[in-house]
Amino acid sequence: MKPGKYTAVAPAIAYLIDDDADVRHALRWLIESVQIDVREFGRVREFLESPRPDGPGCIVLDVRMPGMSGMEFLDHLATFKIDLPVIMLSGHGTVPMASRALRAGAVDFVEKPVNEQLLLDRVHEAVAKSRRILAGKAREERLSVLTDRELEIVRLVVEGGHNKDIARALGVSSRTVENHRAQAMHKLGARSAAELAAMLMEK
Amino acid sequence: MARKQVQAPGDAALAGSVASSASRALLERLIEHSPAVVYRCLLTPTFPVTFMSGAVRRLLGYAPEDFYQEGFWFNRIHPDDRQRIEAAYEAALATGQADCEYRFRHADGAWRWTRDQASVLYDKENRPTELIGFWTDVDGRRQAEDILRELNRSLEQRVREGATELIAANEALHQADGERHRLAELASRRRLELERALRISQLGEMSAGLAHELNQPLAAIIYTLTGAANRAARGELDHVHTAEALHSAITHAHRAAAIIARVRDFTVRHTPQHQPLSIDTVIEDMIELTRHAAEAGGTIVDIEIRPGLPPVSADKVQIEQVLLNLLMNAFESVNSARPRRRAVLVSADLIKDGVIEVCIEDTGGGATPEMRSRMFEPFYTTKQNGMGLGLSICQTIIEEHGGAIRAEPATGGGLCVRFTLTGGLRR
Repeated sequence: MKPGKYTAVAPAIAYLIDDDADVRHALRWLIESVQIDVREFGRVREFLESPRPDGPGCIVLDVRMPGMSGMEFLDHLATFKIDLPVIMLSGHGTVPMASRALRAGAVDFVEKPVNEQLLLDRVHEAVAKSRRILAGKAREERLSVLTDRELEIVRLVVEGGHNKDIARALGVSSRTVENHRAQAMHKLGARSAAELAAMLMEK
Repeated sequence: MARKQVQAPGDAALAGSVASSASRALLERLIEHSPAVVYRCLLTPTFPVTFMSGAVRRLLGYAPEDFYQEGFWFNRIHPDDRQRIEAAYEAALATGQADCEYRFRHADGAWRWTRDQASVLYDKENRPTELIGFWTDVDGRRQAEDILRELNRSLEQRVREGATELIAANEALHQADGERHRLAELASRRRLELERALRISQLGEMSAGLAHELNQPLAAIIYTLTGAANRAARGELDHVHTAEALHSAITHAHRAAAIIARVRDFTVRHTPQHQPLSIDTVIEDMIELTRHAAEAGGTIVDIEIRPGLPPVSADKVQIEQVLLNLLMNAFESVNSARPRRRAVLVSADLIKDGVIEVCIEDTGGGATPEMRSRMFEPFYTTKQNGMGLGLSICQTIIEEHGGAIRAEPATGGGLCVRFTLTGGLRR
């Protein structure tokens, strides 16, 4: 199997964005204590402009950052096609913003003062979510080499259909089904139906 | 011949007689035309007048003969003067001279001041027999004197009254001064209380922000210690990291303590005290204190302070209050106007020798000329819940420091408030 662009198994990185250097350094020390790598940014723009590996991770952002509101930041993530889960640390009284953020797909909202254990749990959750997102992307990437007909047949195979039934359902010959299946397995590098199934189910 | 005869033996007598007659006529004419009345009287109990010159007509409007009546003279002397005159003439018998002034009733009924100067004549036995006197009109002089005296008296009176008034005024002034001092002191005490109340209310407005401010170091402490605990649990914490973590925690704890101290300093009663103050520190402290307010609205605070500014002479808390007021106003203005660019620029520069100008410029809605001209008036406000005291207190504080404060439109459309402070020691 060729290594794809998306590598869900790479070490996770937490991106901390907070202009309060004291708090940021302390948070780094905390998150590193549960063996997650950390990169720090004093400003949102610094983060957006820095090169990033495509591995799993999450963004921990203090939403009371000057220069850009939390919502603007989420818009930017969409524009920059960054799909890292976001944990927003917010002060009291930002509930309307929280609901907007949740609708916009931000993973989590942690109200300050932050319970450190809760925060670490949320970071772990966010990293796990990031891995799932990446796995999904990796799968899609792999499956993208298949034609629509190959993908259709492979899906039916994985669901447990026999060649004959599939051929009947699709109104093609068994041989045609067999040929597409062989072609798909070859393209994906799967040696057995079980491996093929694993590739399609992988998250 | 006869005449000659007559003249011859009595030539001298005749000549003397002629001369005597001529000199008598001359004398009479002199006496008649003299402004002084000449008189003669006997020194007997009623002082009968034996001669009175005609000048008395001009002097008092009577015929000389009138005086030959007994008591005519005496009865026309002013009753208030009679006793004095009697005494003067009694004295004249001893001294031979009398000189007195008295009022005499004129024929027209009015009183005239006269001067009577008399000499006593004696007989061969040296007994006083007669009085010869000169009687003159001194009414004009006396009137002038009276007027002068009256003027003098009234002048003295006025001076006395004036002095009394002056003393009273002085006392009143002293009292008023004391009262003024008392009122000024009261006013200044009231104002300090008001300033403090305003500071507390400002802090109230900022309480959410202050809680946030305090949460920052507390969060940092918790993160640091938890991070250390997690590593220690895995046996990954060496003594270097332990020391570093503890040191960080201590630093953060100090930061928390400093925030509380700043809040306390800001709210305690205090007597203004001028001291050399570094304006850049005060500006940075107040920006730090209001950081949450800026962040809440996503407002960027830019600071432009000329390096190496000299210290100003000022009361720290009061200047902090001015800055806090202006910063909070700026943030509020930016927040409610929601401009595309949300920024507040705080700058400090040396505009002339020893004079520092601080400027707080925002990108908010700005102010109309009417608002700008009235915004420093007490109780003038454009805010929904404003008391209208913030800027008025700012102005009082700055002017008490010998500076000036003014508002003008900012280049970006918002408001720019400038105030000056000097380095020279005041008070």
